[in-house]
Amino acid sequence: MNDLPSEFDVVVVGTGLAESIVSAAVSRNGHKVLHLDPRDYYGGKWTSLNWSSLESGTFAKEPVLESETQDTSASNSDFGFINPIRSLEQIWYCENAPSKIEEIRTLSRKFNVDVFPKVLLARDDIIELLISSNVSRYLEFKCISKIYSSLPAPAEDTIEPIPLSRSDIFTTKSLGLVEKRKLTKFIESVLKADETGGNDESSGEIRAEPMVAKTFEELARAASLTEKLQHLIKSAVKTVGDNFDPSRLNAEFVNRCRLFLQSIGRYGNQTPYLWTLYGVGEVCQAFCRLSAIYGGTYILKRSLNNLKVEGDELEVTFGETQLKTKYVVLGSEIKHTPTFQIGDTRTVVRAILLTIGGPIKSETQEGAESFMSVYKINDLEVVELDYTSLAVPKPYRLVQVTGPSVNQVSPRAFVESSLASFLDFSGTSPVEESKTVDGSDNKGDSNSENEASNLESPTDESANLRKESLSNGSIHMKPVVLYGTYFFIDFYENNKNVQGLSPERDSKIFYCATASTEITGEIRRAQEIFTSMYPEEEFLPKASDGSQAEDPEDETDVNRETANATNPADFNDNDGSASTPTI
Amino acid sequence: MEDYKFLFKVVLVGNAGVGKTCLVRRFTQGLFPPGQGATIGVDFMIKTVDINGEKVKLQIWDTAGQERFRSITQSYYRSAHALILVYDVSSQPTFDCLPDWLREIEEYANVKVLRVLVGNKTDREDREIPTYVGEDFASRNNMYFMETSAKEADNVEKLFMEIAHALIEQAKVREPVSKYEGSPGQALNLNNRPQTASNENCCSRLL
Repeated sequence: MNDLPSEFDVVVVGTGLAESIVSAAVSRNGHKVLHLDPRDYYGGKWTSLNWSSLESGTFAKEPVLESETQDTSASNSDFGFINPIRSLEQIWYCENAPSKIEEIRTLSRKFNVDVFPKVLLARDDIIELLISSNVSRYLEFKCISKIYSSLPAPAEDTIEPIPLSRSDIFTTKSLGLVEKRKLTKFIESVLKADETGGNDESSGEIRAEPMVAKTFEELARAASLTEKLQHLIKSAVKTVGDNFDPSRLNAEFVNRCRLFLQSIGRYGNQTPYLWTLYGVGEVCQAFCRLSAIYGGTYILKRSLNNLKVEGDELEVTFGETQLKTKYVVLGSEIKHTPTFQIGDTRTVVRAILLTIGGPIKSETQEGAESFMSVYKINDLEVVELDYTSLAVPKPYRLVQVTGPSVNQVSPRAFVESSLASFLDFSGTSPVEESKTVDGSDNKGDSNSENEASNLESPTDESANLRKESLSNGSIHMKPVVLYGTYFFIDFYENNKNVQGLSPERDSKIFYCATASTEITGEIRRAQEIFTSMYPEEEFLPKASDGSQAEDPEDETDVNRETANATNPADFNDNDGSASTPTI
Repeated sequence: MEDYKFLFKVVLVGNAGVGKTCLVRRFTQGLFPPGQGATIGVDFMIKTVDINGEKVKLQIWDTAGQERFRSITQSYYRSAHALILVYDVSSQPTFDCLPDWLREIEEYANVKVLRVLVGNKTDREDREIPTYVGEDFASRNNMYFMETSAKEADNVEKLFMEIAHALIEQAKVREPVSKYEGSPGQALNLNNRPQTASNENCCSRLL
């Protein structure tokens, strides 16, 4: 490849989260990085897709590489591709409304659909890393406004808001007075328990031994939590892929409770969760951008072909290009056949649903407010996004479902049956629905090709599509699912027991793959890899603010950093008015 | 000291070597040629200009080299108010790539973005693209057009000043161009925490 240097310090393949973080960390410290991805987009399984990319299903297939001379499946290649996505099924429920389908397709680029969506706790490691590295300047977030949970059986078809603040607990109608007091006490004791596990002895109802020495069951008993409270607390804190076992010791659970509670309000958020605008794929791109501004070289649609040891270095080839590098870092979709074998695996079930007709749970009679919500329905985590997430255009909602894997059931059958009480999978056209409800014409849902039909106000939408009365619970129109994409997605480790024939080679090849489904797991893996390569160096120290003002004299990095320290003219400025480039 | 009425994000795209960084540096710092490697660690350059007595801050973003192998992140295009597509008047291949760039712009940039086509390096003796060809391409694609020389400082100031003018006009005529294509409410930047996020607000949080 023309004008590409023949030597790099690190070659990274794949632009998923861990890979992008490694790339940024290495490049940030002045090492030369070549960053490839076999896909024509950034992010790997952490990407966010527009509608046509989603519908094409290419994200679930092997990538097509740019050069015909490069073929990872060829037998002479040392590298292969591992597809983490299985059992893909895509379906239009509203086949009887082709104009609707057409309309959605024309809005393709207004969709940013995460293949593996993540709501972030405001005090998650990723948030701390974004701030400490100054990569946060490329990203913006919105608060998730509500968290709901289904209730324990036999009321599993009922969903209620999880009270998260004193005022929530005070005003909620779903808890009795005694329960309210117990919940408040429990929360206080969790927050008081310090990292080493001591808890405040004065908190009465919880015994004096360290809280971390308890199982959740014991903890719950000590605080005499009712079954409903236990259920609500568990569903609030539990995440998908979490092997939460209430009978086991759960220091992690307490820590997670604390992280959860302390995340509330950090950014004025009423839930602990933040949503990345345009989807979580932006986070990968942000780290890649940092890598690039520190000199990282980026080439999409490329992967490695061959690798051999050449003295202290590795010699790698891709296409016609041959170059030397000290290390190779491989993303979770890439395998170097001689050193790779799938180890621990965790499988997650996914559904991406496009709905119309308002939110699953509406707080007001009109259902008109626009917001983003998280629902914990049995074991599923359901993130419901409206247009303010920039993941989906008005008036649709994107319902992102993630759950633990189920054996022998198709992802679609599983999700449809789990959510049947909350979503309408019958494919009934919303037009017909609204007519049967109020007998009037639905002006908001005409077949007009004009984009104006998408601008119908949420009030129209709700008036037409939803008849709900919360006070007496009489009618509740479920949102109608128009389209669904279903699949399994695997998270796996490289089996560390694989003994290659060449230790000096194997110590230079790193795998980002991790069985953790959490972003924190990706960060840890990135940090481990970085530390193995550069044990003496700091991991992602704060980058300069990235802006350069009209000052002509500052030519050196040092000058620039100091100049920027006093230059408030960037995104991270504390003066709120200048913080975002809105006019 | 930070009093300005408008802040606009301007992004540059086009093939490697057409002079994008030179244009920015010439405009923001009056320098040519920019020192090699000087852009390490720099995301964007800032220049505040005065348009009819109003202070306008231009935040001009460069590609960070990701254009070399056509691997620009989509997020680079997000929330840009103006987009400058640059080619080199002495290099036919850089002109031939314009349709590819347009496709990318249409895919990722805000539909309302102000688009400007710039033929740079007019100082070169070996011009391959006549002015009318560039003009024609721009008008067919609904773009503003200008030829510049970053080396001779020809039209560079004018280019950015006209962009600032046009953006102000746009901002005044229309609803303020939302950076999110119609998303209401304020987005969160992690480094800006609301004042209320402290202990005294006991009603909205527990700690």
